[in-house]
Amino acid sequence: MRYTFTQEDEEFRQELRDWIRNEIPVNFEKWHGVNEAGDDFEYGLKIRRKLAKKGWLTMAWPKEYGGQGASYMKQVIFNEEMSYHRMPGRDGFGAKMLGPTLMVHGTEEQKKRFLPPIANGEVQWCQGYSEPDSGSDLASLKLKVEDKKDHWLVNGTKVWTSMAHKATWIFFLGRTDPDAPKHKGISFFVANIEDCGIEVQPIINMGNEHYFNQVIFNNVKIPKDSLIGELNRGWYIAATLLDFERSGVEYPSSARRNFEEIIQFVKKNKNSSGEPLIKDPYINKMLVDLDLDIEAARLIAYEVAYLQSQGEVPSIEGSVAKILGTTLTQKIAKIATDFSGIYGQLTDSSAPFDGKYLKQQLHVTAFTIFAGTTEIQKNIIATRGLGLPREDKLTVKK
Amino acid sequence: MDLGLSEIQKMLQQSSREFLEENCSMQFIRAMESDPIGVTDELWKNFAELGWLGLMIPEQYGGSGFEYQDMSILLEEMGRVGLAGPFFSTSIIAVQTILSSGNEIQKSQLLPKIASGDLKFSLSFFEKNGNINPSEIQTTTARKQDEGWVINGEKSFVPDAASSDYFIVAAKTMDSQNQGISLFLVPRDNEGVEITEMKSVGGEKLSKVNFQEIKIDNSQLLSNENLSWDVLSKVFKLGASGKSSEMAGAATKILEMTIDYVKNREQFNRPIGSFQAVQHQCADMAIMSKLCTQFARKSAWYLSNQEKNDLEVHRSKAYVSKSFHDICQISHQLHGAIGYTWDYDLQIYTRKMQHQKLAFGDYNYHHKKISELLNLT
Repeated sequence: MRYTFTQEDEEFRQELRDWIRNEIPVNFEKWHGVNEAGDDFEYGLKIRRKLAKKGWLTMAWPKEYGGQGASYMKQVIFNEEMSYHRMPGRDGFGAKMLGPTLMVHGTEEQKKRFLPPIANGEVQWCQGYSEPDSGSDLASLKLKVEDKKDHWLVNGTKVWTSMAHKATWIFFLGRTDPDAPKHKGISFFVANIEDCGIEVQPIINMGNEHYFNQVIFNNVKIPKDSLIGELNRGWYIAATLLDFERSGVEYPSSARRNFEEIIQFVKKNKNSSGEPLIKDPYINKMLVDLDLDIEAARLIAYEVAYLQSQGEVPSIEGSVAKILGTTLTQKIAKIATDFSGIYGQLTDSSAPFDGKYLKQQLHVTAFTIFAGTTEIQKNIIATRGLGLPREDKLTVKK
Repeated sequence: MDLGLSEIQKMLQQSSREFLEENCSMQFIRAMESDPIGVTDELWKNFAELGWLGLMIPEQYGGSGFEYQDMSILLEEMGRVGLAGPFFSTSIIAVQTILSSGNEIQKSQLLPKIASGDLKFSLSFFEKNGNINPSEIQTTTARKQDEGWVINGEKSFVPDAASSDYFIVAAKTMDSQNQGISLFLVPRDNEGVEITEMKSVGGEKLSKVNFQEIKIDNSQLLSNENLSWDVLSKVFKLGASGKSSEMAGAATKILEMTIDYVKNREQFNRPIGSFQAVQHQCADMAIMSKLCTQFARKSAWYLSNQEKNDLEVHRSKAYVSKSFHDICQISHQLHGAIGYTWDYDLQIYTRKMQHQKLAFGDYNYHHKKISELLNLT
């Protein structure tokens, strides 16, 4: 047992932290981060290229692909510090998901073509999985991909595609064998959005933000070498991809920063009856419970990374981390608007934090839904972790 | 960051699980609940032979020289079988108290006898309110007389009074609001000691102990006069972390019992564990149970390895006290009517939980401490 990081890890944390604090354009206390999916996309890319130069963007990659083969704990520290400091620049789709997938399943040519731009922080990828009729039941996806000898012909629609409006490339799952059992007729592809004439339509979320999109493939032709890995093995290729990093440490570490910010506010301000907020027993109780929730999510994230460092594949722990982390972000946004009294509905500068947490409350509503809803995660814990029978696989005795 | 157990801890976990499963069946636990002592001489002897009684006692005093973090693994296992009894008061609380406050003579006289199973001790601190606070001591005083001391007062919530050879009595020796506490060794059979049973719901042996004009000599002053609050607050941290470990062990066991039950219990021609309404409650239990273990182990590790450990102990006891109660409640819900019966073993854990979650500070107490440490006041 050891519940602290090694000295080497702590030195890395300090180095990273110094770099980040220097990089932040304003005083750290006043820094709220940027919108990488919107006006600040270019700024995010600029930071991404700097991270690439530092070797941090792909430090998790093996050395043969230009990475550092960094330990899981070092990756955890990187994610912790970046999240805590609200830094843009990380590359969830390219560096974290597609890159490692290509290393396992890509041809030499695909690796040579796609990995360097990711490693250099030059390209934005997006992920086309969900479809209008395939959400939690992802394996039922229908996007049709036909083999036309010298190309693939793609028809169908992807939805909730984050960053598609900023991305150059998309990796996606399509149905290549409509007659096979649903998991066995899916293949994994990559495509250049503009070159292939893929249409991207914005979807505005309830926070009036543009993060995700509808992506339409209307008789789109993509080159033969767009297939990644074996034909009809796409479901399993996508599943290996999801096993790369699932610690979810970004949730508790960004929550810790928000927590500190909220405490500063609570100490300086009064409630609607003129009493100091910090003396309000309800707020005090909420804040301590929040501290426990943050620590709980952090402990599980560390456990995930620890298991990975031992060569084990976390399954239930990954689901636990996702549930705790995302629920936590919703709680913290709610608390930060709860103590504002009647001002809690405002999004202008007369609201606490200029309404930042109210906007966040709307934004993070998606967190317990995307990447496997809380309900799906609980199903995974119950069936895969605890060995309970799957309701959909059950033969009911008469 | 290494969240696994050490090789020694793994061995301790495995050997203690085997021993306890074999020797502490539910039938035995039920029998011990109505037994005045809560443990048999034979079991106590076994504990001594296994090296458990002196697990935290350094080798120079006849113990095994393990750390508290190792003890916490054994406590998980004891919690798993629902074993209460004098082990906790003697081998954790008393051992830590004597180690932190005894002089060399006291340590070399008392600790080997704890390790060998010849002596049992009980810390007598609480009075009427049951607060972990120096001001809790209102009635118990010790005054100097001749070459020794005279002790008077009434203690409550004294654990394992009937089986203890000595009480470690916390008494006021100076008129000061928060300090001036000293610890004294008082033999149970001393004239003027009167024990009255308090009935705790889970079979925990708790008593009121009245001390009237107890005359003891100077050698029975356990600590430096007036300096005992620091010792006691450290001991209470071990108590809080230790109860967290017990609950974490019990939580894992209850989760297993529940999973087993919902896999086998059939309604509507299928196991009830196939219903998502049931599965999601099982998932909630699994999440909380995992966290109980992590919080408890983290606090134990901090107690053994870090100077600053208060926050981790408070977080642990606050989280585990609250969540373990929730776990018991969900488990009963999923067991339906059968789990509510006296004959079904689940209720034993639920009743014991009531003691465990309150002992060494409840959720509210530790919550308040976290609030203070985070400067939320």
